[in-house]
Formats: sequence, C-alpha cells, structure tokens
Amino acid sequence: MATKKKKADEEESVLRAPAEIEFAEQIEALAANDSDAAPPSWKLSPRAVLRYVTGGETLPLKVGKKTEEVAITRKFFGDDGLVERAIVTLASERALLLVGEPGTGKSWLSEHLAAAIAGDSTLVIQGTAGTTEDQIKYSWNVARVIAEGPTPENMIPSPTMVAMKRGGLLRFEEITRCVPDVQDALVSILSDKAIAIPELPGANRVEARPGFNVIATANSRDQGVNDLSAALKRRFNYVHIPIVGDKKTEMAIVEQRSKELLERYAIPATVETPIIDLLTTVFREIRAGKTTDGVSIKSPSTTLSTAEAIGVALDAALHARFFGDGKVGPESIARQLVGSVVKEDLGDLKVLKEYVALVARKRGKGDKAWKAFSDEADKALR
Amino acid sequence: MTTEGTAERSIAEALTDDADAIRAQVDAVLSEELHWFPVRHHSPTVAHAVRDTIRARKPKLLFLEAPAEAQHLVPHLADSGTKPPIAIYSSFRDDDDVLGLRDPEDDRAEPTRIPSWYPMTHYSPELIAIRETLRAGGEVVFMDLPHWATMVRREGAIQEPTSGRTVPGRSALHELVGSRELSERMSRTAGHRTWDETWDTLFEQQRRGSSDAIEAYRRAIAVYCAAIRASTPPETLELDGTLPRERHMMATIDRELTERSVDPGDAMVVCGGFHLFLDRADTNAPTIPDGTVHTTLVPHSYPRLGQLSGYAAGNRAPAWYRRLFEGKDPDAILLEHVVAILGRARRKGMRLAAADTLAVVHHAHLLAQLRGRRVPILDDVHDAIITCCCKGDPALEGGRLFEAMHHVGTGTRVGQVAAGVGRLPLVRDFRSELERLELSELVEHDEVLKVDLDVREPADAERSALLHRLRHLGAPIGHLREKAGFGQTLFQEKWRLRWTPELEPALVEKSLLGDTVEAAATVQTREALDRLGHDAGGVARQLLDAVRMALPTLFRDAETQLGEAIDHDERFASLVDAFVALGHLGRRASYREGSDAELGVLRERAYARASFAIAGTVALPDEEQPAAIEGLEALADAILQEDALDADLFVTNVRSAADNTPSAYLRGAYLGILAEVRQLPVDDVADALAAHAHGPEEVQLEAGDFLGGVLAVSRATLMVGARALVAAVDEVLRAVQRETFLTMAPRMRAAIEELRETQKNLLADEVGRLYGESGDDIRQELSLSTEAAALLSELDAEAARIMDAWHLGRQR
Repeated sequence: MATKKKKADEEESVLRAPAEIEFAEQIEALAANDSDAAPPSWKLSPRAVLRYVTGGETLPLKVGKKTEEVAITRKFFGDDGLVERAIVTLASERALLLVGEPGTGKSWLSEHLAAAIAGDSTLVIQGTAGTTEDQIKYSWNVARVIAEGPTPENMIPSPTMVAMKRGGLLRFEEITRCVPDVQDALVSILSDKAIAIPELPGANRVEARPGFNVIATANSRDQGVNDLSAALKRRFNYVHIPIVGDKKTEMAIVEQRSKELLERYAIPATVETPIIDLLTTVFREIRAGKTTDGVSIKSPSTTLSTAEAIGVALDAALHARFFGDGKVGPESIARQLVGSVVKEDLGDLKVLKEYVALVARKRGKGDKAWKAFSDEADKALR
Repeated sequence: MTTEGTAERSIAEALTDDADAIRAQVDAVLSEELHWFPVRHHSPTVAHAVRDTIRARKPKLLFLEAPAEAQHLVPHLADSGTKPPIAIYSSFRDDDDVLGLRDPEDDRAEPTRIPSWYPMTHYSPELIAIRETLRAGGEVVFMDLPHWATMVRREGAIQEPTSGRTVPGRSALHELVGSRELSERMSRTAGHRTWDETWDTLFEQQRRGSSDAIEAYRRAIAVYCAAIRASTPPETLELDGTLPRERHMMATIDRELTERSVDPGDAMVVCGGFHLFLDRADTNAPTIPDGTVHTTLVPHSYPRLGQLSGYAAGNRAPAWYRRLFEGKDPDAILLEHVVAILGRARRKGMRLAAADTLAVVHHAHLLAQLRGRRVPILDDVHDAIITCCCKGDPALEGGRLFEAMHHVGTGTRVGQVAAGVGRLPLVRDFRSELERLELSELVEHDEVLKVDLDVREPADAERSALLHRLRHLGAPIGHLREKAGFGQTLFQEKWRLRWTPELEPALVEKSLLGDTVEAAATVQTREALDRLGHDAGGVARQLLDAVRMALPTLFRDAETQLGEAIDHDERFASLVDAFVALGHLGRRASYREGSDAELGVLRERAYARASFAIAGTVALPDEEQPAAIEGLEALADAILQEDALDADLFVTNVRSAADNTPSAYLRGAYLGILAEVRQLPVDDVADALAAHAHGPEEVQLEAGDFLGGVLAVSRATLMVGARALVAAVDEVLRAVQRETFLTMAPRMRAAIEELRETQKNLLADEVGRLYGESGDDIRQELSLSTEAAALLSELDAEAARIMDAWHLGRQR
C-alpha cells in the first residue's frame, strides 16, 4: 500500500512525521468506513474526524486483497464535547481559537484536526513578536521582481494563501505573541475569505476555496500581552482547553504519550504504571497546592502541565537507558523533576523542597517507591 | 432509524443480559386491555403523547398517579383560571401520633406535621391527562397513596424528613434513574455527559405523528422503565414505600372499575413508568392513618421546578421545555431561546451582535447533526453559546452567559390558582393586603424583589408592618437587611423579598390563629409571651416585634409583662438582651409616638438588674462565656455614651466579679472591660498579665487564657496599651519553660488571631519596637526548618480548634 510505504519511508528519514503521515493508516480506514457526507474539501465527515480524535474503535481497511484491522487510537484525552465544538467551528463561518494553559495539548489537537480534516497539518504560521504581515499574506522573490516586475510566479505565497487556494486549514500557533497590527491582517482574510494583491493588476485577488479555515492557538498565560482586537475576536470561536481534571485521564495521557515517544526514540524501555502513578500524583499535588490527604502546600510559578509530566517521564527513560540500568524507577523521576518545577523562579526550588520534606518523606516511611523518590529528590535538591 | 427505535436499541445495548425477558414483560403489559401509559414528570414530549392518546382513545375513566386525598381538586386543576405552575399541597397533622414520629421524651412536643407538594406545570403529562380526559367527557381518579401513609414506621424502612418535601418525584423516572447503573451505562455508551442529555436525545426528539409512532414511543419508555425496575433490588421497593403505594393503586383500579362498571378497555392509567410493572394480584392496600388533613392548590414556580432548587423530579430548564411543548417549529423555538439568552447577557454588559445569534444557531444545528440528533437539544444550545460568545476560559469569562442561560432556561413565572379553589380567609387577607399595599409583584415572579421602605411615610409604614407580621408568622418572604452599612437607618428598611412555594402553605398552617394577617400575628405573639413568662430578653424581643408589626394593643400588655420579667429574671445575658431591645424601642418610640417614659424606666431597671447579675457570670461554663462577654461590652458601650446610667453600679459589680472568678479568661475580660470604661489603667491590666510569669506553672499556664479575655473586649485598651501588653507577654514568655509555652501558645495565638487586622498590626509594631525591628519585618513570612514548620502547623491547628469552640459558644 502506497500510504504504508510512504509512512515507512518518512519514518526512516525524519524524526517526527506530521500527523497525516504518522496516522495515515487510521485516516484511510476512517475514510473507507465513512458513511456520512463530508463538507467541501474535507477528507472526512465531521463525525469521522471526531472518531479519529477520540479513538477507541477498530476498523477494517482493505489493503490489496487482504482486509486489515486498524485500531483508531485516542489522540486527545479530555472532554469529547470540546472536540465536537472545535470540529463544528471549523465547518462553520468562524475560525477556531484553542486557548489554554501551556502544555494542555492545544497544538497537538490543532495538528490532528488539520490532518484529519484537510489531510495537511503543515500549513503553519508560528506567531512571534517578529511575525510580519508578509508572513501571513504573501511576500515576493525580490531578485526576480527587480528583474521581471511583480508577476504571480514571483510571488511567494504564505501558508495562509496556500490553504486558501486548496480549501485547507491554516494553523496559526501562538497568535497572541504577534503584535496587534499583524494579527489584524487576519480580519479581512476571515471576513472576505480573500487576500488582495494590489501589486498584480490583472490577478489582484486570491479567493479561498470552500473548506478554508484557520485554527489558531493562544496561551492563556499570555493573556493581556497582545489581546486580540474586538473585530478579530468576533471572527473566532474560542474553545478553552483545560488542564486535565482527573488523575485517571492524566495517567492515561502520560502513559500513552511517553510510550509513543519512547518508540520514536527507539528506546527499549517502558515506564511502568506505578511510576506513572507516582509522577502524576506529584505533578497534580504540587499544581493544586494540596495533597490528596488534604495537606496544603505551596504552588510553583510554573504551570506543571501534563506535557511537562510526559517530558519528565521521557527524560527519566533516556537517563535510565544511557546512564542507568535501563529501568525507570522513582529515583529517575525525582532526578528529572527539579528541572521541570524550577524554571524561571528560583523560589520554586523551595516549593519542591517543602513538598519532598513534608509529603514525600512522610509517605516514604511506609512505601518503598516514595522512599526512593524522596531520597533521590533530597540529593538532587542539595 | 426513528428516535423511538434508537431509544430501544440504546437501552438494549446498556442491558447486560435479560433484554428478551424485559421485552416480553413489556409486551405483556402493553397488550393488556387496560391502557397503561408510562410518563416522566414535566416531559413535554410525553405530555404531547399522552394528549394524543387520550384524544384518540377517549377513556371513560383515567387513573392518575396523583395523591388520593386531592381527588376533590380535579375540577379546579382543569379550570382555565388555574394557570400553571401550581402544586397540590397536602398537610397532615398526626394528632394521635399514629406514625410514631413524635419524640417520646418530649411531653410538650407539637404533633408531627407532614406537608407535601405535588407540582404540575403546563407540560406535566398528569395535568394534560386531567384536562384532556374531562374535555373528552371522561372522569379522573387519583390513585396514589397519600404521602404520609408511606411514613408508617416499618422495620428497616427508609424514614423521610418530616419538615416537608416536594413529592411528585416518588415515582418519577428522573428520580429513579438518578443513581441507577443502567442509566449511567446508557449515557456512557452514547457518549453523553449527563443523563439529561441522554433522556433528551432519546425521548424528547419525537416528531408528533401517527398512532404507530406514539405506540412505539410508549413502548420505548416502557422498555426503559422495565429495565430500571429489573435492576432495582426487590427489598428496596418495600422499604421505600413503593409496594404499599402500588397496592393502593391496584386496589383503587380494581375497586373503581367494578363499582363504576367500566370495561378496562374504556379506561386508561397514566403513571410513572416504574409502576407499569406493579403486581396486579397484590391489592392488599395499606390503611391510611387518621389525622388532620388539609389539601388545596397553591401557586408554584418555574425556579422551584428546576433541578437546582433541589426538587428531585425537577427538570433542568423549565422555561425551555415549555417552549418545546408550546412551539411548533424547532428552528423558531431555538432562535427565540437564543435571542432571549443573548439579550439578557447583553443587558448584563456583554457586547454581542446579531451575528453572534446567527453563529450560535448555526453552531447548535451543526453540533446536533454531529451528535446524531434530529434537532438541537439544550446541551447543543449551551455549548454553541459558550463556543461562539465566550472569549476565554468559561470558568472565568462565562459568568454572565451562564447566568443568562440559567435565567432564561428556568424562567421566573409563578402560577395562579383559580378563584373557585377555597382559599382560607388568612390567605385571602394576605393576597388582598399585598394588592392594597402594591406589593403583588411578590407573588407574580419567583425572583428577588427589592423593597426599600422609609417607615416615616405612612404607606411604607403599613408595608413594613405587613412584612414584619408575615415574618413573625414564619412565612418565608425573604429577609430584611438587619446590619448597618447598607444605607439602612432607623427609619429605613431594605427588604429582599422572594416568593417561595412554601409561602401560602405556611399561612395555611397558621390559619387557626386568625382570619387576617394582623389577627394571626397578634395571637401568635400572645402565645409566645405566655410561653416566655419571665424571660426578660425574650419578652423584650417580642415587644420590639410588636412595635415593628404595629400591634399597639399587644404592646401595652407586653410592656407590663416585661416589667415583671425584668424583676424576676436573674440571667445576665437575658437582662442585657432586654436592655438592648428597650434601647431600640426607645429610639423608635421617639419618632413614632413621642418619648415613652415607661420604656425609659424599664430600661433603667433592666440596666440595674443586669449589673447585679454580673455576679452570676463568674463561673459560667466555656460555651456561655462569649454571650456574657458580649453583654459586658453592650453595657460598657452604654455607660460610655449615656451619662444618665449609673456607671458605678456596673464598675463595682465588674470589679467584684474579677476578684471572685475562678476563670482566668473571664478575669482578663472583666479587667479589660474596666480598662475600656476607663476605670482601670491599662498598665494595671498589663501588670496582672505579667504577674503570671512569676507564679507556679499552673498560674503561668493561665496567661494565655487571661490574655484571650483581655483581647476579647479590648478596643481602646489596645490603642493606648499595646506596648504595655506586649511587654507583659514578653515577660511571661521569657519566664516559662518550653512545655508550658507549648501548652499556652495555642490559646494566645487564637486570641491574637481573633483581632482585626489593624489591631494585629498595632501589636506587630510594638513587638518590632521591643526587638528593634520594624513592624514589616515582624509581619513577613518566617523562614523555618521543616520541624519548626510542622510544630507551628500543630499549634495553628490547636488554635483553630479553640477559635471554633469560641465561635460555637457565640452562636449559641
């Protein structure tokens, strides 16, 4: 099968393939079993997109003469209603803004939505303070313009323009990092669904094909830095991605994502469930400022998102693989934790020390894993 | 796939086994000659189906799951003057303690009263069934057992509270499914977030149509109810009163069909689906206990039908479901609802344009489509509103939208009862007084009604009197802001009124006291005065109430009684209460009726008696000490402000109490009070505290209590004497051993914690000065070792326990 081969090729040559490549088989299986109508330019129907994101089923896929069973994995853990709202927004007139704390999976969800809906998640603008209007609309090959003047061939289309021409999805990451003037370049794109090119007298307008839309992400910690203008806000539907509410879900995310990452880095290690349990407990307690047994503790200035927990699990596995016995234990977690908790504010070191002294050490009296964790954390914090 | 087909499939998927057995059971019931229709309370689609069925079948006799004692109200329920929401209200007084609920230890206990409400609204299938049956020339029989009859004591039975409850949920599907595993499984399987979403998806999407469609719908509900019943432990049915009720229902059906010679094919039963499967052979109906019963119709309201009001069988948005019931075009219903919500949010300050309305409607349709629904349900509408209008985290930014969704979805409507329903004279007088005083709005909407009165104005004075009388009668009308600080003065009253369904029933309960609100309030006050006897504080409060209620004849009698009570009551706190109440009365009298010399004399007497009664406070138990201290403060305030009071009398008694009390805490309080009234230098109080440093350990331990007492009453003392007090505390702390310190520290800490922030800062500044630091240094967070932090945490916990005990004493 061509897709499979392509995937295999990509996997051999790149560190991280885009979602539409990585999960091509799943998208193909969903398309093959999709009985609902898809909106114009969409690869899948909205319901199939939802099934792609929420996973949990196995679908038959014909490969040559054989029929294979393809498991659709869960891509996004959390409230399915939120995913439904996001999908529906992309089928409507309005653009989608995924907003939430860092590490809550906004970009991850954005990528998967773009992959399942448009089959291409790579039309991305990364918002920064230095992002210019050109990067949003179009720019020119200056040398050729000097030589030949402005022609359609000399124009360098932005990801926005490419998405418009294809009826695809533009991903605009961290939109609130851009200055307001640049953000406002999107207003006319989202209302008129067109970009004017005054430099080209004969073909001075690129119009979006049906299916074109924008998925933007914004970090709620950036709120107030470069808030969207009222005009732009009205053109976006906001879907807020909360920090994972329950421990069971958070454990499932850490477990699945760390497994996927370990496979990607070809590390022959697994992080066992009890270790994931300890890791998520530590994260959740420090994040909430309260332990499960009701003790109040200080909270750090950092978010301590689920993505951070995945990072700790991965780093612990890497460390165990290359510098340890290959086994990820509580002590490996403790060693990696400092870097996650203590980032910009050295005061957070105190937070971690307090947690280890008042909570972990006490638990260590009756639990080997917690003892190993607190002993190693003590060493790391010295 | 039709909605009803989807419903049955969804139930079958959730059933682990016995799906065929359940289907067979349903087939058996639905094929009976007697036509059984299962309902859910307040379901618009069920109501439509019941209406269509009755119109088609035209039953001669309809058996309804409604309380038998309310049978005489059937014509009034059908009367067009009765405008829902209304409720059948039943009040049972167990005169002979047949139910055995009275406390056997208490000879003076009142007979148990069991009130219950059975609400109905525009789209209650029961109300529709009554109206349609009568319209078609049939008769309606209420077949349910009276609520109180289910409360007869049975071994292991589930006893319900006697304070009154809304009962239609007894058999309501909703209540039954609340915790049922099956329902949860159905919701989980369908990917729904709540059971309401599952119900609406499966059972509120039905198109009105052919008799086949209605029959399939009846079957789907029956299958669901059969599954619920199959998963309910049989013993629960006996213990929660279901079986006695079902025996009564079945006996009623058998008896009425026979007595009226009606063929079962000409009759119909409308009941909670759970009862469809009752045992037809078990007609051994329980005996209904004797007692005093009063049953009538009372207004009810949409907010009380809402689940958030705590009504178990309530629905989540009564006004939304009314739109669904009355509307024909789903698109128009949706648009109307969204416009109303966004309109309210706009009025609350949100900037929302017409484009947002369109976006919400479009989004709701797309969501419904994605979720496999024919038309959007409430979940889709709410999700669409949040997605299209909330620009951020709904928890932080969605407040106004959530409020608007709740307000518009719930509504504020209060129903009306037809004029023909016999209203008791007291209730009639209440209504006519409201009308006369232009306060009728109170009974028209179930929402807060702000009423600001200036009692110097004659009309407002009458309104005030009426509201105070109602409050005195225990009618739940809302509250009066009693505390100063809200622009309230002696002449102004700020009421926050709100209609409740208990309002008229409360008056019904008081109807024996009199035919008018004034008469009932007078009789109730007289009864209270009789009970209070020589309780000076209690009588004085009744006297104050009599003035507020404008009951002048009662006032003179109470005044006489108060004089006797002051002379006989020896309790300090009660006498201070009387003194304070008389102060309020004096001020009111001064603008209403000119000064009242008799009140002044009484107040002086109360002051003198209270001063003498201070001697009785020296050995009070801990829980009574806070009230005594409040009394001391009240008297101290009075002598500082009024030269006419004999300050020496108070001071002499406080000094004597300080010398005689065995309690270090009270001694501190007495000396603190003397310092407050400037009869003792603050330095002397500080010296008394410092003296603990030089005593034996048991005396040292009392220093914390003593300081607690001083600080509990200190205001001016702290301002002028903080330095001396801090020095004394320092002296004590330096003198004691570690163990003694650890014992006394929590109480000291608790005493300081009780102070206001400014007072704490004052002390901190003095501590800083004593140790050569600034106050800010003292206030900053300590950097502690882990052990010290743990110890401090234990001390804090102990201090918190002590403070809790103090507050508990104060509440008493």
